[in-house]
Amino acid sequence: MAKNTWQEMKMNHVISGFAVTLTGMIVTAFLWWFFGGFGFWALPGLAILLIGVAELCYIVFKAITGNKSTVLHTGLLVLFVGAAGYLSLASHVMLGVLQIVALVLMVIGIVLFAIGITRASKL
Amino acid sequence: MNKFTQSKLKLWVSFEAIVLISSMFLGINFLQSPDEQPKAYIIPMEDWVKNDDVNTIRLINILLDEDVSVYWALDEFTVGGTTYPAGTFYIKTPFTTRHGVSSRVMMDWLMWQSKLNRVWRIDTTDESLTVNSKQLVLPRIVLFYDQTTYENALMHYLRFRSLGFKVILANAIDLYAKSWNESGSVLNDANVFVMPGGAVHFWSFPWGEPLAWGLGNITAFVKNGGGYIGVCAGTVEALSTTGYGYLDFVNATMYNSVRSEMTGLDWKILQGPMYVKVEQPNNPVMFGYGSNAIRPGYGPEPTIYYLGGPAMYDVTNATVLATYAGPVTQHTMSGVTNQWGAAAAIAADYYNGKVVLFGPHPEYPGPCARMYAQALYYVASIPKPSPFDPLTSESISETAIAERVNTIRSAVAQIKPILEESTRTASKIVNMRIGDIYNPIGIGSIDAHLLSFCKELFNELNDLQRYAVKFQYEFSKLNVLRGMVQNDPQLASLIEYTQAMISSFFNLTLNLPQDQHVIFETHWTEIDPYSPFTEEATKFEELINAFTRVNNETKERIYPATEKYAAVVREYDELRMLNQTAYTPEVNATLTALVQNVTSYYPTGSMFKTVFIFYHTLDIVQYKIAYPVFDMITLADRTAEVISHMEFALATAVGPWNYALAEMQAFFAHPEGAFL
Repeated sequence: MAKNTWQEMKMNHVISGFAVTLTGMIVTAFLWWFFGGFGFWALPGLAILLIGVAELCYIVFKAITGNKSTVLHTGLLVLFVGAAGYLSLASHVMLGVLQIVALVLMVIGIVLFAIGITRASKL
Repeated sequence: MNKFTQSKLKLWVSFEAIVLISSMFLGINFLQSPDEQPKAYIIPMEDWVKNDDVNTIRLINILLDEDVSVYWALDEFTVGGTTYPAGTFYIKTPFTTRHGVSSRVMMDWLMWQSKLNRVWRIDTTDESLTVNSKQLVLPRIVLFYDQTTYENALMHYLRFRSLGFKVILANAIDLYAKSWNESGSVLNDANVFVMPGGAVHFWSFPWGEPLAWGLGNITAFVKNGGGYIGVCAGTVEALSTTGYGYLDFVNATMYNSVRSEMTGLDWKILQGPMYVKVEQPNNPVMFGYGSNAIRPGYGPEPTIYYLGGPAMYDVTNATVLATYAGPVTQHTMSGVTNQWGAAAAIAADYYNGKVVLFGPHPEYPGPCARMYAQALYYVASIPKPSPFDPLTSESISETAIAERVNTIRSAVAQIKPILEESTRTASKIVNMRIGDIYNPIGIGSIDAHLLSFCKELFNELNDLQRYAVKFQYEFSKLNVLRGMVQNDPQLASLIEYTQAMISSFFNLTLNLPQDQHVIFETHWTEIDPYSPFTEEATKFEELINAFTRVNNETKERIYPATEKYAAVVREYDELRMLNQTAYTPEVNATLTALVQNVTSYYPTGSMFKTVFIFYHTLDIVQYKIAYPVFDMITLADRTAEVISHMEFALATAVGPWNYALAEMQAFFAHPEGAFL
């Protein structure tokens, strides 16, 4: 009973991860269409999309290590949100400061990810 | 964790890292603009969900100021399966701006700014466009700014500002002291002359030679290719067959007895938004309006604010662009059998020039901002250089700027409470309802003019203060960027020009433009005469004296005088009600006597006395405060535009991270400016 519930929960996480990713794709596509191209306006859509990807990655890492890790989870989220920020801001020469902020977020994400994965694999 | 799991984990991490990094590089490469620039950029004006037309026009004006060729389609055309109606703007590439910026950079700037200003749709094409179109000429506008213009000039200034048109204010002396094509004449720097509403403006000219010179200059200006736009009274003066036709541009007449026949006991002039029927939707002035209009409110009958302006008929040498969709007054004037369908807007050619005349007010809030801009584009035909270009010798130091910013902020902090008090008093005066334009003994909303100026000046002072702080930050940023581009003379010249613009703004605050009006002593108040105004401000901070003077006059003279006159108006209202509900010959005689007494020209009745009490203070506001403030705002707006596209060109050259470095350095020096 417990195993089935755990499996269902995992499956629910996978489904919700894909659902978030799909939502992000739809929002990004809509913003792309509405504003005529890709730029800072795509940030909300891209952020949702990459949050979904981060969730899916976390499920994979959790399965591989066999352990939950909040740090790993947070690291992945920060990394992918930073990536979303960088991707959507990269084409704007006037947004250098925000590009740097996005890169800093990515670095923080990578550090947290490294800490998280190390801890999770040692447990 | 076993070895298998560990290796699987390593594989996953490597895979994720590769996917992430490569997708970012792929994405960035994908996001970079392609090497080939589109041959044309098309701005669909009718896409009202995505594109704000006022903002579009403002951006176009910035391009025009940089000598970019912007075209205005005069016919419908189709590109790539999309049909664009007449009135669509498009820009052809390649080009180089007058400061040597490439079309690539300038159009990237446009695409960037368009996203920030709700112009979200700009189409591009690689097809060569062959469209019947007009290459736009930036309207360089001279706005008449003298007696009787008051709120009309203010509304024009605000409307032009929102559309990005830069205005030169001109009084009567500016128009008659020099020949129209003489160097230094306001008309020589312009290609459009705008006569706003108000009253008969040529009363502002001394009778005789000055008036003849003024009229001659305006006529010659239009004859030689200049544009004339008249609104309300400015239209009346351009009609040949009216009693006030000083400028015989158009053969038409109007219901010219409206005023005299309406000063009876119980008339009502209509005031407010009025429907007009667009008669010539294919005329460029009316593009986007009429029965086929797509934008909400632009058709089938758009509304324009009406304030008792001319309703024209017997138009013989002009095109009627729009007619009033109803009568302009409830009163039927003698000799007029049909008040429906009189012309509200007309267009005519006058020798080499073009004339557009509006009876109502397209400059007022409403859907006709674009119509007004189109009228300006329609009449402007001779390109004129920018009168706002700075001299490089104007450049000042960061220390001097810091001093000016502190002085401006301190002056604004001192002025604001004074202005707030004036605004409150003006508001109380308006609430006495003696300015009611519906009332025969009302003072014609002159009280509202004072209130409007007070309110708007508050906004303008805020803008000036914000600009001062912002420009200090930008100047500092440009100094950092200068170090990055010192090997590139072209980029260095952009910095030099932009810093000179900023410097010229701060220099203007030290040498305020002077309006030549002399404001004499006035005896109308019956309390104490107004003393002549002698506190002319030469520096921004000296405006405090003028604001103090206005506040004192408003509180101590105008308010008591209007309170007294309000009692007369109440008495009239009661008598009028009595005359209507319980008519007796005695009541009627008392009412008639009161009206005659109050509105008498000689001896001057209390209505005119009250009006003249306002004039003294309004003259100080209009000529001694708003005049220099508007000039400073105009220059500041232009400076902000220059900063916007010049810094974009610099950021493109040095790269976003170097630009960010300059921004951060400037931020540490002047943190406030970074957030404005």
